[in-house]
Amino acid sequence: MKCLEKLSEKQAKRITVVLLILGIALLACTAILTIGSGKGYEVTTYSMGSYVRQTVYGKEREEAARQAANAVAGLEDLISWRVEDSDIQKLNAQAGKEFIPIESQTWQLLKLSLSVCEASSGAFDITIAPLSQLWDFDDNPHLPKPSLIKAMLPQVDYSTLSLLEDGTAALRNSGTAVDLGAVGKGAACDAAVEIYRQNGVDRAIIAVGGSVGLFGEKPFGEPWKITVRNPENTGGMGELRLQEGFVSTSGSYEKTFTDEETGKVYHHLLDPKTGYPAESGLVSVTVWGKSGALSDALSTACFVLGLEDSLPLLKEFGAGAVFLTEEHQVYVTENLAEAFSVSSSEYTFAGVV
Amino acid sequence: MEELTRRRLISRRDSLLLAALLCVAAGMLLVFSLLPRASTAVIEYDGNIVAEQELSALAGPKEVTVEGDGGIEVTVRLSPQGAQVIRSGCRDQVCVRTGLITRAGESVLCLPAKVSVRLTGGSGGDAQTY
Repeated sequence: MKCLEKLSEKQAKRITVVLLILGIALLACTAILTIGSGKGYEVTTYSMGSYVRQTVYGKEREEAARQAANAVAGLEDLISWRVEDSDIQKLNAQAGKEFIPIESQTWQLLKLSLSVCEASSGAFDITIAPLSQLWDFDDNPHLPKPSLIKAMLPQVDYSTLSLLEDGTAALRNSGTAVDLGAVGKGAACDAAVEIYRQNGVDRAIIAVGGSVGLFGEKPFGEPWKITVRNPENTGGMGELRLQEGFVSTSGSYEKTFTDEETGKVYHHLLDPKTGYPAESGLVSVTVWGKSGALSDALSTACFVLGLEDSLPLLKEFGAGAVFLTEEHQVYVTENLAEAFSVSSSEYTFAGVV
Repeated sequence: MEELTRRRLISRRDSLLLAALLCVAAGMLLVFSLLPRASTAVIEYDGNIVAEQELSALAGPKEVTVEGDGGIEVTVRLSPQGAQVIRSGCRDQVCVRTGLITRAGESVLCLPAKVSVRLTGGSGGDAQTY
């Protein structure tokens, strides 16, 4: 190489040193980018009838993820009416009989759920079990006889559930039963985030079915990105950019069946007052709240209440929501207006509420 | 005094060339680590990855059959366009009806079989709420 011949030994030495420093600097940058940001530990387990997907960052990430998965499974064993000897199964079995002691975790969840029942005037009612078991969406979805639905309505009454300060609970009437299906996944996110906090994890995200919980912040102030499902397919119709919090969605597309005789489509979000699937003009509501259980309970309440009546409820709990209507319109509460954007051409942004 | 003839293992100029090559290599490595990962299809059974395929590396459709819970066999077709469950032994066939997924973050689930196919990489979100 002729150009190299022209350089003196001294110049060559200097240039070599510069290039070496540059090369090492570039390698250091690459190392920092790939190792320093730390790879997240991704793990998928299965609880509450859905996938539980976690991504955890930080020193004890694998241990924290393992504990969190156990916490979710443990919570299911406490609050599912299907699980033998769960607190809820015991509570339902003793309905109309006596007060029973339950775990503090269950008691707290019932307390929070009751506050949403009251604030929503029963649009959300955790004693919906007589109706939800009648429709049986999970195992044998079918249209029940109107007379049976009518007979179950008086049994759905959250005011008959009593929680005492000594940690006991009881259902006053023997025909009433609790079904926490509408808050379970959100509560599972809470349990996991508590584990992350205890383990001093850097940051983490957990999804239990469609309920999502966030812990910690991403580097460089980047927000977490949660896509909101498009009711028409499994892709996203929009995106929420959040620094913290919990998100849950209630959508009529999740569990449906078509009645053979009438051809009508029925979805699983029942209105406790009518006993039939709620018809509020909404296809889905995504609620952002301070806890998973709260966001889950509120999303169900808001779906039943409809857009207008949801607003005071959301304000009361300092929550926010994205509403998708049957006319493919999108409404967003003020506190989420900056964070949310529509990504699908099938839906039109209709306004901030 | 005799003049010491200095012999080097490599001449200064060769060192310069090597250093230059090191820089180029390091630079390429940095650029490569900054590039977004190509879209990959991940097939899982009961939370364990059973197959991973970088879609852009495919020349044409490729079928992968996974046996899930209850002996349910799920057949996934992977192509440069995306992924799709084309056959399943499950009762509900929800997974088959889902159709083709093409964007990162999308997934197809066969819950009875506990088999899932999802696309990663690119500009997908951190999670999806539904």
